[in-house]
Amino acid sequence: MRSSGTSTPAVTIRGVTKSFGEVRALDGIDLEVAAGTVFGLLGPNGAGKTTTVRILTTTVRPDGGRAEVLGVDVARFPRRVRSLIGLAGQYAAVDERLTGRENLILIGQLTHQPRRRLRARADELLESFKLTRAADRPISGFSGGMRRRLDLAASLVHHPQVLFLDEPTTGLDPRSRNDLWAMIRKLVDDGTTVLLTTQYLEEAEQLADAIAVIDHGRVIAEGTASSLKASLGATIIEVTFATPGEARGALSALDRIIPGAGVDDLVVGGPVVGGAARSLDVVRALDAARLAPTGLTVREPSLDDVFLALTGRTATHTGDPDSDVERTAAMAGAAR
Amino acid sequence: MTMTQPEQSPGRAAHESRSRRSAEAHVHARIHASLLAGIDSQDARSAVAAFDAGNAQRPLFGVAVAPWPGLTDHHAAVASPTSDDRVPWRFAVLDTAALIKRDLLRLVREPGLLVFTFVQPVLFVLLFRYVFGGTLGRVIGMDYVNYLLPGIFVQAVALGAVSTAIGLAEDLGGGIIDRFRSLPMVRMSVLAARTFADLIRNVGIIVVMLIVGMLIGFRPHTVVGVAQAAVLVLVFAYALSWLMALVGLRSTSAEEAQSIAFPLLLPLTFASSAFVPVATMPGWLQFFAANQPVTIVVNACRGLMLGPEAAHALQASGSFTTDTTGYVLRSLIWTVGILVVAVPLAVRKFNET
Repeated sequence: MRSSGTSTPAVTIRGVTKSFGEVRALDGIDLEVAAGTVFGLLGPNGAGKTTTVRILTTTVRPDGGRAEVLGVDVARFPRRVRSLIGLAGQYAAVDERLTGRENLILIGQLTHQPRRRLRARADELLESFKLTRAADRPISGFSGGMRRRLDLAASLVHHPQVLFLDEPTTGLDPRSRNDLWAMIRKLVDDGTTVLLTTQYLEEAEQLADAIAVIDHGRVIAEGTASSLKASLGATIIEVTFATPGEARGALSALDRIIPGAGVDDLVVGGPVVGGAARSLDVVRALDAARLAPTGLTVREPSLDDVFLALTGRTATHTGDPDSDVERTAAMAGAAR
Repeated sequence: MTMTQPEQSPGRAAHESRSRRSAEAHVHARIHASLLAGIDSQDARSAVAAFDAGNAQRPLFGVAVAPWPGLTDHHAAVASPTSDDRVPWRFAVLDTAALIKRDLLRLVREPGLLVFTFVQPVLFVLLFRYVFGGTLGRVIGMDYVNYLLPGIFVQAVALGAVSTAIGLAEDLGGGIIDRFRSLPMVRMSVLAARTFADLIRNVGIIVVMLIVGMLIGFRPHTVVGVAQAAVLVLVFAYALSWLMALVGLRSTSAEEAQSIAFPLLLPLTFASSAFVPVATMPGWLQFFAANQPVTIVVNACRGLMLGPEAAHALQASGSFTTDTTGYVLRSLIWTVGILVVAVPLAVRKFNET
């Protein structure tokens, strides 16, 4: 699958399937990641993001289909693939009882780096990930952010050409997240190809050149962050009322401004084309209908909204039964 | 599509698979060359894919064996000779050494584990020697501390094998094994290192136990006998480590590993000749106790450490049913038997993804 003499894609996946017992984790997934870019794999828990990463990092074998990293088949030449890639994120880990430096040296040994360079490489990485001061403390005393930074550093010891980051910032506070984003950007500037999985559209938007949304082990949308958002209408407007009755009453008043708006208990809303300025029309329409809202929210679409539009289900609150089903149905209607 | 069609005669199948192997090696060599030369080897690779579609199987030991003229078909299927899998043995040794160092560092850094490893066996020695020793010495008809020490050696390293299970279960749960799996290292070295690290720790346990034993009156017959017994205990413990590695790999957490391992090991160590003669147990238990591996190894150690005279006395009193040599041979058979079963199962479980 090579296109007109350009360089080999960093990652090519064609019709890959994988089941764990009864659960079909990947159901014929197709992806292509161009070398030197950041690719975001976006989806809720259980969508197949991690399974995709595990197949590409040779820790899980695909049942069917074909997956290649830099043109090397992961099932046939796993060891070659392993020398080309780095893995960090929720399922990779560092040794709690070793120090930061010991961890990096261990990984250097296991990736068969020149002995003389082990220490220097560890120092180099500790420095660039701002861990020099904590270098000789056991990881068990590290903060979450420091741990992720060391994890990322550990994945880079052997200068991988393709880096897989599985939910690199999940569970981090906003500051640590920003730090980590800055570090990932620097890596990309140095020419590393990055495939990252995330549940956050914002993260994909911040980092990724291209995004694929996956659900039930299939790619359901591909594009850039802005093209995905644009496919929804650029802005979400939500109006909150004191009673469900008022909210339902407002639905018809807002119908023309928010085409196909949905109602969920006290909230009426949906995506609008035309940006935040459309909120003025909403206010005018409510005023004309003599309806007094208790709240008005104008916001960017979230992964939830994109997800709703694509699947008719919410992405991140799948485990939350109360009113989610109703909201889902309502918002799905709104999105179309 | 399977490698051997049912209607084929075994001879024909073997012949076919041999010629297939050499063809396979040829194709792989071509691919290797083209990969090295940086040539697009799409065609060559699809040829291999078609070729291997039937018997694609990951190598058992991570380090593949080159197609060997005398190799059986079974081995050929297990270690498919792709150029990719051929790794210098040097890496297997280096990776294992790096991981042994890691495992020992972990042991040293965790005070709880260190106490469990070294203080518990010492406590056992002291308690049995001074709490039960008075009564039991009279029953057994020899100085109880001499009877006890060989038993405590085996008990200490057997219970210590639990840490192999716990260590592996922790690594699996903590995700570091996933990282290891994504590295171009020799996979087998994870298990090799874990079991070797425990072997090294067991040497430490035996030294500590000997010192404590000598302090409380243990008097072995000869130094050579003690050394022979120590080697026997160490190889037996090494086999147990592989068994416990299997337990660790099948567990989802360190707690689960522990809760599977102890009910397996406690009856083995206590329903044995380690602390009391088997003859004092009820009949139904005697059959198990007299033949199970811990008793066999304990008796072998006893014979080696206490010397022929004591062995004769134990045989005369019915504690020994055979002479020392018999117990040593049976110990080695148990050790090899456990290794033959546990190593392939543990390796397969580890590679199963």
